Amino acid sequence: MTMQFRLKSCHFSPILLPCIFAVALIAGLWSVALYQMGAARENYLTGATRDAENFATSLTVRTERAIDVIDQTVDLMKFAYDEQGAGLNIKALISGGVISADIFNRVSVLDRDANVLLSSTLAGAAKVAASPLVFSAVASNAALFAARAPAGTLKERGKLSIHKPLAGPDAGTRVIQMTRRRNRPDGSFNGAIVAAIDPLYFSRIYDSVDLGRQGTISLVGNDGIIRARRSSANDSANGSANDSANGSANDPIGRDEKGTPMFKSMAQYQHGAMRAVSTIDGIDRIWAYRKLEDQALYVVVGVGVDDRLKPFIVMQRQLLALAVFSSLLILVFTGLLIMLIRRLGRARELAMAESHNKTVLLSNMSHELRTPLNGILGYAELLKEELFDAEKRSFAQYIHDSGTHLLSLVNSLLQISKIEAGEVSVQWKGENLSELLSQAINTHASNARAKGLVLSLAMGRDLPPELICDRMRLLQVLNNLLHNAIKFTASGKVELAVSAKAQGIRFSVADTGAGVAPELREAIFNSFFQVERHSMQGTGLGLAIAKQLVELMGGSIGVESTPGHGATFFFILPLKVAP
Amino acid sequence: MTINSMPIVVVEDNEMSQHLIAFQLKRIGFDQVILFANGVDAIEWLADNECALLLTDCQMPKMSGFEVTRHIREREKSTGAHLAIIAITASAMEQDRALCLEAGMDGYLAKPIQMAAIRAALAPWL
Repeated sequence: MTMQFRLKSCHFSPILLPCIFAVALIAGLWSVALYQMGAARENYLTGATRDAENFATSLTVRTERAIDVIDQTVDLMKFAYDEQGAGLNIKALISGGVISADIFNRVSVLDRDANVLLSSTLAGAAKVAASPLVFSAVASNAALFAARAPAGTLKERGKLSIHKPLAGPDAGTRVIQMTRRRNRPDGSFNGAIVAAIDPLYFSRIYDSVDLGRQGTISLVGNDGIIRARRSSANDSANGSANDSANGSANDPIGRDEKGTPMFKSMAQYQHGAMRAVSTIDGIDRIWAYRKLEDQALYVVVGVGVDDRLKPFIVMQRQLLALAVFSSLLILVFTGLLIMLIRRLGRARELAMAESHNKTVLLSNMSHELRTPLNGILGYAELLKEELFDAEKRSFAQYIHDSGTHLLSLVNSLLQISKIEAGEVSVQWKGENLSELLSQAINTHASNARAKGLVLSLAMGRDLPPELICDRMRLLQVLNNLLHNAIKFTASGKVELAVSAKAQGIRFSVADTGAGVAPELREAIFNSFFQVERHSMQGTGLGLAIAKQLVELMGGSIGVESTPGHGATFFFILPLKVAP
Repeated sequence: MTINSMPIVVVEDNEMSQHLIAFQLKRIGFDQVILFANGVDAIEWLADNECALLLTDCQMPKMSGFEVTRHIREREKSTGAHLAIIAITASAMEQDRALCLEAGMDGYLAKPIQMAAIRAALAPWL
């Protein structure tokens, strides 16, 4: 019953420990990996935001410059018309390089009723020529309306207005009109100068910037209408041209972005950044916007989140693979460890069971041996007393001695087996030290006297009068040592000495016998070791039992010897506090 | 009738051991030794007879020494008498001594039994 229980209880705990350790290790590993991934991801996104903001800032400056170029031309036209009137030769301005044919589709002068006073389709705008009248009318009305509209804000010189993109003369094309108000000498409204440019003009500026595959740059008015946009996502070699030329349903130019959270943020701040999914192409981007200094226009830079996270995802994949691999490794090692522990546990159980079985066997054997021993010893003793012939009596004595020896062997075997099986316990009790030592000496006094040896006891100072010990075990150790000392000493003396040491009480038995060779000083404490192997006497178990008992009592045993000059067996018992 | 005039009862199943203990007791001075090979016969005899001491083996067929002791102690409850019972056992373990005393025995003799041990064990009761 107790055996079963003990085996079970020692089965679980050693396996639990590596399991907990493995789980903690894996949990730690994953939390570090996940934290690292989160931090890295955050880093990449912060970098993307910073980049987008920097791009927005620099592109704002470049956009402002591009608008300045147009404004200068429009301004120049205004003054030129004011001076030269209908006689103004636009073509000459163009051929003279004053008006860049690369930029302008068309430049017109309108009167206050939006009639075209003067207009030129520029060389670069062959496509406009297809239906100049339609385009002109649309352009003029819209432009004039816009130039006139915020009456309160019209100042002396006015400001260049940049209007919503309109459908160009060709199907699918777009133009952005920019107007500047013309004043009468008294400052009242007298018409406008209208310059039509292709949105490509802005797109081209943005083309030189590498924002990644999903990057976009847009020019958006505070009315929410997209003026120009560059997106690399659907770019081909001359993608920008297609972008605005196709005019397909998903052409973003002219789209109204008023409803987006991005625009709501733009309406409040001069610049900012946020993350949002594009309403145009559904791509998740980090956006940065910045308002132009003099215009109600924003440059909006979008950086694709997937774009920017690509290196992170590669890193993340590697980190995940590493974490999975490490976890598997930990699991495999833990598994192996558990197997090993199980195997060791089983081996230990077997050894314990074997040890126990051995004790049971020896115990039964000892029981069985006692009945014949009873006969041998009992009758030998009776015989000794009944025989009057000295020789015959000595025979009886030999039988008796042999029986006694056999009995002590049986007892020792049983005891050592029990100690090894862990079935011997120590009973601590306060004992009178000098009385205990006297008893040990007295037990051996007659034997020593018979051999002509001097047996003495030397007690050191500072010894406690009472010692907490297991009287029976301590006496047995002392008896075994004294017995051996007397047995192996032919002449001289045997002294039992006891003294107080820092580590505890030191007991020593010194003899003047043959001594112990250095190479035997360890082996001598093993079971069935004998210095004189041919000797009929000696159990060979006395020292082994002494060592086991001393260790059972928490002490240590040893021997000092000069071969030929005797040996000193000693052991130190740690002082115990009264229970 | 003095205590020495009463017999000593020995319950022992091993014939040699019976023979030996009888001689050992005789050597000490007890001529009246009644031997039984099992506890049942001993108890039956004790129902009608008196003895000075009971020496009993512990492990025996039919009835163990412990049972013999318990029977006798049970019977003594009504009479108030106390028979000295000493165990003879081949189990020399420390706990065996405790077992004997627990069963109601007064003493303990471990085999092999020597004269000195018998004298010491019997001394308090004679």
